[in-house]
Amino acid sequence: MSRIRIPIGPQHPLLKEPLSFLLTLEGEQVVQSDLRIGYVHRGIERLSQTRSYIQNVHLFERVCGICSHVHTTTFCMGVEALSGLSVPLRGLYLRTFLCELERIHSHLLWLGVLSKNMGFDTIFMYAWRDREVVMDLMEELSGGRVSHAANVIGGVRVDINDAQRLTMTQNLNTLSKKITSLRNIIDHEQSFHARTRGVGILTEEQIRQYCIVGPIARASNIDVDLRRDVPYGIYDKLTFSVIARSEGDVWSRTMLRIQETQESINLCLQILDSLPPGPVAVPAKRRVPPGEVICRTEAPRGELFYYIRSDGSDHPARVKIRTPSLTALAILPDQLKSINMADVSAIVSGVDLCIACADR
Amino acid sequence: MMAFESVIEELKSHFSEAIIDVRVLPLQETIIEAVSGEVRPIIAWLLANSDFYHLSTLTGLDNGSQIEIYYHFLNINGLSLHTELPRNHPTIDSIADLIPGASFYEREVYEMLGVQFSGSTKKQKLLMADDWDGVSFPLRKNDEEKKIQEDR
Amino acid sequence: MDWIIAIFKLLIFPGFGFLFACAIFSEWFDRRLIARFQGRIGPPIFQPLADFLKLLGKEDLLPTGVNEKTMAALPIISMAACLTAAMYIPVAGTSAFAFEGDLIVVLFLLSLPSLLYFLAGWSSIGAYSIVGGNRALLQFFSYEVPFLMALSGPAILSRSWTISEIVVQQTVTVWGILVQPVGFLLAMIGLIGKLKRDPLDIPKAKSETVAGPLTEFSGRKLAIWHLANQIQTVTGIFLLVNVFLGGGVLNQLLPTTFLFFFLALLILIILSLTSAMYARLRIDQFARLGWKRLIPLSLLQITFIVWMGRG
Repeated sequence: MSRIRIPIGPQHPLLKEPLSFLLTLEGEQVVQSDLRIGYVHRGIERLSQTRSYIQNVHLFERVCGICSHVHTTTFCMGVEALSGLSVPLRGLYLRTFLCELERIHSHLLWLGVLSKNMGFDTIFMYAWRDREVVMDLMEELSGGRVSHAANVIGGVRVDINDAQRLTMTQNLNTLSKKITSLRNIIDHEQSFHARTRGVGILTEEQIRQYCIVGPIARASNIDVDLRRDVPYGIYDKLTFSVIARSEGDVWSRTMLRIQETQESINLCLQILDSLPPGPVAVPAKRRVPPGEVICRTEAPRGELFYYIRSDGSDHPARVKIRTPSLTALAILPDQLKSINMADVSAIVSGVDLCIACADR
Repeated sequence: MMAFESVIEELKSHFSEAIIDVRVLPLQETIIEAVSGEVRPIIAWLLANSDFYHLSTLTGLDNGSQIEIYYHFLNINGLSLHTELPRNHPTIDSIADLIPGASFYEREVYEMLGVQFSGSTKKQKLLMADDWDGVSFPLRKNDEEKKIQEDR
Repeated sequence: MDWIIAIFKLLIFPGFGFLFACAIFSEWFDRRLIARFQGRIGPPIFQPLADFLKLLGKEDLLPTGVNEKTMAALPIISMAACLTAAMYIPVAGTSAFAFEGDLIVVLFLLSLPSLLYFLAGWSSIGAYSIVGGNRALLQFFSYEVPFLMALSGPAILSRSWTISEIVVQQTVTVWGILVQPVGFLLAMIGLIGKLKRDPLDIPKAKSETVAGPLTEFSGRKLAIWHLANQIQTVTGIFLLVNVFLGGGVLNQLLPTTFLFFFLALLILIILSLTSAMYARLRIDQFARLGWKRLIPLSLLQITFIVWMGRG
């Protein structure tokens, strides 16, 4: 049978951001896939060397749109460790609150995109409608729906009063019920099962070899979550459970993310409940003492890694970022071999790529 | 499962000539300084004898006189291998056959700093555009940077 | 005078003008209903007309190397097939023209657009169009056979291949759906496949093949394809109402016009509901469904009909 080459990308309705696959098809079977990234490479690591630490907080927020807050959280964590600053408790609580809100937002967005790519528009509309609740909460807290600029070196620059706390708690409780009903729909919808069960299976061995992180690893029985294993911020003061499943297909990743969303809502409610009084930030100096630090956090897509080296001036000597989407991209060409063309959209959506993160 | 301190002790005893220094950073990170030729055997030993299989990433950096490479591992504790390469001819053994996930990171360090990873299949770029000339490595410090600072 | 009446039938009622209005209304109703299911508001009544007029005014590009005459002719032939089929389908009791055995002609004409859809993909040369066209043809075989067999059931029962005869027979006995509910179900599935609606819009799956066979069409040609699809929707619904739901004739209990359009709206509501409720099937899943379940069911239905009509 003759072979057809189908380009998926750089512009394609399946992808939110530019990425290029060249699929070689024989009939409906994918025989080979060639991956090319770098379309959104903005040279952020190089740019960070020409900016001061304060300017870099704003620069690193722009690495990604969906996980912007966790990038600045990691960077500020590292610089505070180098400078010997100790962020007040209230500031840490608010930082973690926004991190968890971002996780909910990211997972709901992803659920909508996966459903849309599988032709299930109804779930897309429901998930994005529920996402509006989260975005309103984030706007209430920081003034921006997607880009918050909430972190400063030494703490946060946002705060809430008691009335806002009450309305936020009520909104989160309503959201929790909506997520439960969304989960029920997906649990029982046979056509969704037919498109996602058994599709894109990753074994534990593959995950270890390719060093994949995040919900994809947890869906294949690798129980690693930095919030519990290497607690940062105030995660050691909060109770939550880490979900791990063993099927390893797109279906288990979907259920895992929905369960994580519910856990995050619980975390947010705990934080709002036990918010301590006090200042939200300490002043930070412009110059950071020389040294190097490595900080990792659990972004919505997995382990986010920052290496910062300072030479004593107010510009960093080197900042290295490794985002979790890059690990997922490494295994994508292998996942796309010997499958049906129709499964390509389920697999590519199920991996939850954030190309802007991966390209930096 | 080996405790973290015993992993460090075993490494020091196995590779006593290769390991130059061990230091601890804030946020529970340990860095092992090693000779560049011994990095691959150390990593092979780690993969075979300890629970450190997860490579977070490779960091490359140019400090003006040498090119430094870090290999960052994670298993609750963070362990990084640090090595230095000569600036005019930076070559190191590739570990992409030991850890397939390292190939993306090696490609990026190659195109950003010009480090040659011997043993990997071919020199492939990851992020650079199609019309990249192959010789101007973005993260290397060169005279251009001084000019940008002076123009400010 | 005859030719004036013929022109009126062709152009106004139940011809092009009436069908155009029905097509606009059915698209609006479908989009509005699906939007309400999804928690949105939906477009206003003039939206489909506005979309059509906007598409007519857009630039008409074609890739190099395609046969321009073929690409221009395909949508026109598709629309002509749907319009001609509509001439023979009674609307509330009156059809423009009728003759002995017109059901077969209607079924043939209504299966043309799917084949032309595949041809459109084939002659567009691009990769997305060819893959979409292949899928369209594969899907065509899976739903067309059950559809044809399901629609032959009432014909066999009424011992006639003329649609008006089938309607008359249903008023004498019972509506077709009561005797052959399985046939009605198969006809509905076949109609969803024919119209390429969710969950069977596999050929034009946006996330896989951009727009399937119609990727390279734009401007006027795309407007005519779209209108042809809408007219096919209306024609298919009218056909089902006539063949399975007695054409809206209920022995003078209710006015035929009202009942006919009411039943047509009911079928449209069922179509919209299935669109909102399911994810898109994979082509191999649908092919398996068609050959393993739908065709045996239709065979069973035909056997049952023949056995029933024997006595």
